[in-house]
Amino acid sequence: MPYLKKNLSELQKGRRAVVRHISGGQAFCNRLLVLGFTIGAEILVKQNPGFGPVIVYVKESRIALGRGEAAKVLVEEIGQE
Amino acid sequence: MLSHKSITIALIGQPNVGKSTVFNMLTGLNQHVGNWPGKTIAFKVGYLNLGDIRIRLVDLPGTYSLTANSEEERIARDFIIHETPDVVIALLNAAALERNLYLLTELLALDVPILIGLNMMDIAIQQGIDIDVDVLQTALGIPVIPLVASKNQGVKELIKSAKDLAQNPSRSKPNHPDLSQDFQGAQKQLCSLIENHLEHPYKEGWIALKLLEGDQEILGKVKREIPQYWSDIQEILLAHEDAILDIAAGRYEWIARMVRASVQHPRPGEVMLTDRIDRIATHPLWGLVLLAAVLGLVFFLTYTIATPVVDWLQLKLVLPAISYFDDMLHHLSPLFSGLVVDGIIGGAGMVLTFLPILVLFFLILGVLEDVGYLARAAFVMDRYMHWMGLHGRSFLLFFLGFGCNVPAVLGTRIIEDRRTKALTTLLIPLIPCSARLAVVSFIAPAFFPEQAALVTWLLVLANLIILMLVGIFINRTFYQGQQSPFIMEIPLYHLPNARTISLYVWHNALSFLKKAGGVIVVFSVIIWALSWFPNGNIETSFLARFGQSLIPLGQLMGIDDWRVIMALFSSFIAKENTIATLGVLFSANEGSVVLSTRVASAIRPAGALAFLVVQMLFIPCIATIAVIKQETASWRFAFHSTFLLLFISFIAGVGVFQIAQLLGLNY
Repeated sequence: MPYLKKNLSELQKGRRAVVRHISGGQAFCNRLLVLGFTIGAEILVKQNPGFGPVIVYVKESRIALGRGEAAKVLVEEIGQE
Repeated sequence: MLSHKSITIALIGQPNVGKSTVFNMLTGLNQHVGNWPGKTIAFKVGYLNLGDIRIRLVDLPGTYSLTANSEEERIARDFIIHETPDVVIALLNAAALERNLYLLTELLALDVPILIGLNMMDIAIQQGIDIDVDVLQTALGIPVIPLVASKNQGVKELIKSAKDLAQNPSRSKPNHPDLSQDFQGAQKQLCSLIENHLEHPYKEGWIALKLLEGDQEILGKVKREIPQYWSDIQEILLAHEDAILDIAAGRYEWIARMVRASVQHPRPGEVMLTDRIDRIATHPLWGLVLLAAVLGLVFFLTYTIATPVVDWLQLKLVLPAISYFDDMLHHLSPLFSGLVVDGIIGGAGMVLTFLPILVLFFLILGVLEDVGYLARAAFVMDRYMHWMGLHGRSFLLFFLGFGCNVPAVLGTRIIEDRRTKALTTLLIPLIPCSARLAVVSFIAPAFFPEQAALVTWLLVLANLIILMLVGIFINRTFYQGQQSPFIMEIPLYHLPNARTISLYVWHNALSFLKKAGGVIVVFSVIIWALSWFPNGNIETSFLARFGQSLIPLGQLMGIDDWRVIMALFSSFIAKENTIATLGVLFSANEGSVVLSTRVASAIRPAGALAFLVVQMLFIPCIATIAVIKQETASWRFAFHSTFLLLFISFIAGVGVFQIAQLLGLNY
């Protein structure tokens, strides 16, 4: 069953997802890409209290993203931790 | 066979991979720290001898990639392109290998002999990651040396292999990640357009790749140097607008292929220690509670341990030096004795006695940074920093500012965004540094013997509230409420490394001594001169005249004694000067109890409270202003910052006095 696309800030703690798109300028995209947020990359949400920044696990490391930044990452949920 | 007698090796790696540790192990104190020409980022070169070969080791700034998004990245890639080191050592974190290999894919595009140092093997093993180094080496076609730099394992082998590679570069036959078919065509087209038009060290293939990635610096360069083809180039680029997304994904696919056979990951489900600690440390509520506790502990430790040391230095070193020189010089010439004793020794003594507080503060902060806690502190504070349009990184600098504003301003280099950097720089002086806290904890008990601790605590709180209000105001009015991106790696917790921390303390203390030390002594001499001339009597000196002319302003906040006003102004040189100046002007060198009672009798409680508030908010000290000028490269900015603080402290002082009077605090 296909899941709806969401942005990363909408994912709850413990959810796994795949990156589908990153919106934003070249510099912003590049910073996320080098950290491993490539199209197709699998991520796991480590911390998302519903306000403020989030922490996600991607490519073997933990990255903190501001809420606005997380909202620019479009993902597809694939399940629970 | 030897081809060179002297070789250059560059060390490159992402942040948090232990690059400085390797560099320090190899070069020890035989290193030179300077600045890159025209840049604010430190340039570190060290030397070592291996057999009869002299190695020049260059420590490039830590970068995640080689795109020109930050100064660090630009410096690292310009060095490799223009200075063509004999070998580049890519230091990678074995525990986050795929992410770290991304930097390698960018290095490969530059065509330099590469050697991989695979650091943190111990952490990888701890996490159950199993890396077969031989298989990895074969897959990549690049020599890979495993190491644990923090325990000095493998570091010698690393540099020896780098030397061997420099003498015989053919040992490295790297595999290259290919661009997908779609982009290969575009790359070829771009290459044919720019061919023979760009000066020497740049290669067309690399330039074409960077154009596709949308690298601003290279785009600008091509547009400037070959404008005749610009419209053709632009057309190709428009047809591949989102190329960067696919290129990066392609690189990661290549990396996944490279490591597939050599790296085994542990089965998921095992909860790591880091995750367990982070349940509290990054929790929206408990994380804040923990941070408050940590902050409290930092100040408690700093002052309970450092204060006795400061007193001891004062008693055993500064006071004896003063009386020794005073005895020796006074009968020769009172002018000369005043210059040496009050001016030079007074200033130097202040720097000296202040050092223990700073060293201890940096030590504790260094431990917190090294174990990985500070990144969590930045994370929990991020949402509150957003109110001012700032983010978590700025909080780290505010934290540092509690120790001393000077390194905090110097630290604004870690912020890429200009607007955030400017606002953070502007707000740092509102953080009460340890010198200001020392003054307040000295004076508050004299004015308010019953509630000294409460008053001090409220004063700190008032500073932070004012900081926040000013931040919100400036962000709304001058920056239209913009926000800046917060993207930060949260490292794994690990045990602190003594060497890393001691170097951190050493560099920070040294930069305080260099930046602030000299300035404090020079200005101490100037203030002494102003209090001596024209006729050797402080009551009729230039300083007294200046102070008296300010009494009308001082009266608005209940401070009508010129000596107290001058004490405030002397904090411009160094915040801790206030006490020394009061000591001189109230001629109460007998001891602190006498001094504080004399000062307390000079102004009434409402004025005293205003005095404390102004003291906490007053213009930054000269060393802070000097580094603000240096970091922003603008005198205008430094003046604005000074004026802002002067304005805020005046308004706050008048406000507090008037309200305190209304409330009847004027017995």
